[in-house]
Amino acid sequence: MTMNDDFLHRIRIEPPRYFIADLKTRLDQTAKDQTRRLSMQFRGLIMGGLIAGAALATGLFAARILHPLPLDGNSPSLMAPSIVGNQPPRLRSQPSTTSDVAEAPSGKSSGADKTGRLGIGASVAVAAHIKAATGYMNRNLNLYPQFAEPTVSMMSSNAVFASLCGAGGDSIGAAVVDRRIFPSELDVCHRLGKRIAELKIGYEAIALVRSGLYDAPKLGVRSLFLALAREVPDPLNPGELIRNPNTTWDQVDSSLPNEHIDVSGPPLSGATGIALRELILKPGCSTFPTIAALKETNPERFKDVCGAIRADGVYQIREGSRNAGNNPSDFTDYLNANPQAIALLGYQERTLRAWNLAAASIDGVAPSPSAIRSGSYPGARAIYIYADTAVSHMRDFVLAVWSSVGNPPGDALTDTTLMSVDSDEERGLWKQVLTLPELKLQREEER
Amino acid sequence: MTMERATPSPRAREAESPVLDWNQIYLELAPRVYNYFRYRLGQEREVEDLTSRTFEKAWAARDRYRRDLAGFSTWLFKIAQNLIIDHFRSQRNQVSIEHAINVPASDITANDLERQSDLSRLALLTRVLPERDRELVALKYGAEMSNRDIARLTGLSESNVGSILHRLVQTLRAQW
Repeated sequence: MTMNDDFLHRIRIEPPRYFIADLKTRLDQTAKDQTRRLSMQFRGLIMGGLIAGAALATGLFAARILHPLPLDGNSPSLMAPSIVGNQPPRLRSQPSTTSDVAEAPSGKSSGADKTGRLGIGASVAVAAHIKAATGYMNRNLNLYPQFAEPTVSMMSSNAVFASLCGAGGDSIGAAVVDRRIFPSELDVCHRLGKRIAELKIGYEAIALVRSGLYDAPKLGVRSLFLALAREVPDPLNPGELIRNPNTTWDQVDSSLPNEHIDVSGPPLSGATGIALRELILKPGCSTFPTIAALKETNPERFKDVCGAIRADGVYQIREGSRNAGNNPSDFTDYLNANPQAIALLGYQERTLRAWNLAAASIDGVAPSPSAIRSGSYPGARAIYIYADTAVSHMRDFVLAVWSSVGNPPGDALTDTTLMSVDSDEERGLWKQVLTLPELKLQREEER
Repeated sequence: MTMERATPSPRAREAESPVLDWNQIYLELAPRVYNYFRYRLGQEREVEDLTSRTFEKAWAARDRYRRDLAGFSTWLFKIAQNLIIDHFRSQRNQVSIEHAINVPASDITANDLERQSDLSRLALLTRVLPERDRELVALKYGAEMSNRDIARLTGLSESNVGSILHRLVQTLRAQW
C-alpha cells in the first residue's frame, strides 16, 4: 500500500462504541453535577442574604425597643416644628403581615409507572441486554434510588406496539422489536399524546456452524425445516403431516450429503432458539403451500407446526450435554471430532474467528456483517427500540441498551444473538441516540 | 452609526453567535481526540484513558466557550497536548518495544486489525523523528486538523506547517 496523505488518514479508526457511550454518560453526569453545584451555591447565597436580612431586622427591632424613637416617628434632627403644640401622638398603621410568598404548585412527577419499574415489551429475546444496560446505568449514573431492572414481557410485535401506545393490556415504556412501527400504530400513540422515539439498535443473527477443519455446510430454510421440525409433510402424501422421519441430510435435500443430521444448540426457549424458529423454521415451513395455508385457516396449528422442533435427539440441547457443554474447549473439541456435527449459535464474527468455525450458508448466502446488514442473509433481521420519551431516565436507558448491544454481555456462548450496527450506520444514529427525537412517519410508509 | 448597525436583528445575532450543541461537538471531537492519542502513542493502550481525561477536563469548564467552537476545539487539543507530555514524562525510561505491539481489543474487525498493524509500523518509523514532527503528524492525520488550526496550536506559521508535513510524508514514504 502506498504511503501518502490518504493512507495516513485511513489508519484512523472509530473509537469503540462502549467507550464513546461510557464517556458521554460521565460527561453528562459532570455537567449535571456542575449545574447542581451552581444551583446550591446560588441557593446558599440567597439563604445567606435572608439570614443576614433577618439578623439586621432583629437588631433594628431590638434597638428600637431599647432606644424608642420619638412617637411621631421623626428623628430628632429631622423633627419639624410643631404648629399644633402638645397633640396626642399619632399611631401609624401597622404594615400588612400577609405573606407575599406563593406556594409552589404540587405537581406530580411523570414518567415512571406505578411500581417504579420500567415495562418493556419485546418480540426479541433481549433480557440479557436489558440486565446489562441496567447494570451499566447503576454503575455510571449515580442514580438514587437505583434504576430498577425493567420487567421484560415477550410478545408479538403487534401486541408490543399496542401496549406501547396504551391501547391493549398493560402499558409499557419501551419496546424492542423486529420490525418498524406502522404509521397507523404510531397514530394511536400520537392520539394518546405519547411522544415515541425510534432507534435501530442492531441486528439479530444466528449461524449454523461446523468446525473450521471441514467445509462450511450449504443449507436452506426449507431443508432446515425438514431436518429440525417436529412434524413435516408426508413425502407420499404432502397434504398430511407426519412425525419427522428424516435422519440424514440427503433425505431432506438430495443435493446434500448422506450425513447424519446432528445439530446442537442452546435451549430453544432462549434467544437463539426463538430466532431459529422465527428466522429459519417459519420461512422454511411456509415454502409448503399446505402448511402456509394454515396461517389463514388455523393460525394456532400453523404456529405449532412451524415453531415446534423435534425432541427425538436429532437436535441436542447443548446446555448439560456431555459432548458439547458450555465450555468453549469442549464445544470446539466436539465439533472438531465430529465432521457431521453442526452447532447453532448467535452470530458473532469474532467467535467464529476465535474458535475457527465455518458458518453455513443459508439459501446461498453465508453470514457476514455485510450480508446481515444488507438483509440478504436469511438468518438475520434488524432490531429496533421504541421508547416513550416521557418516561424518566429513558434517554440514559436507550443509550445503555444501545451500548450493550455493541458489547454482548458475558461469554459469546451465552445466548446472545444481537450484533450492533456498523460504524457508518452508527455515525448516522449517534445524534438520535443522544437526543431521542420524536418519530414522525408518512402514511405511505405503511407496509 | 445607523440604527440597523446598532441593533442587529435577532436572526443576525443568532448567526453570529450560535449556542453550541455539546452533543454534536462531542460526537465530532471525540474520534479526533481519540485518534490523536493513537497516532501519538502508536498503539491502543491508554488511548481511552487519555481521551477521557481530556474531555473531563474540558467539560468542567466548557461554559466559557458557549459561543466559540474554534476556541473550544483549540483549547481541547491544548489539554490533550499537555496530557500527552505528562504521559511521556511519567513513562520515561519505561518505554519498551512491546508498546508498539498491539493487543487487539475483543470486538475489533479484520479491517481494524490491519489499521492497527499499519499504525504500529508508522509508530516505529516516527519514533526517530523529532518530537515536534511526531506532534504534527498526530494533529494532521489523527486529529484531522487543518494546517491553519495546527499553526494556531503550535505557534508555527501555516505555510511552515504545510512544508514540514510535506517533507515528513516524503520521508515516511521512503522508509515504508
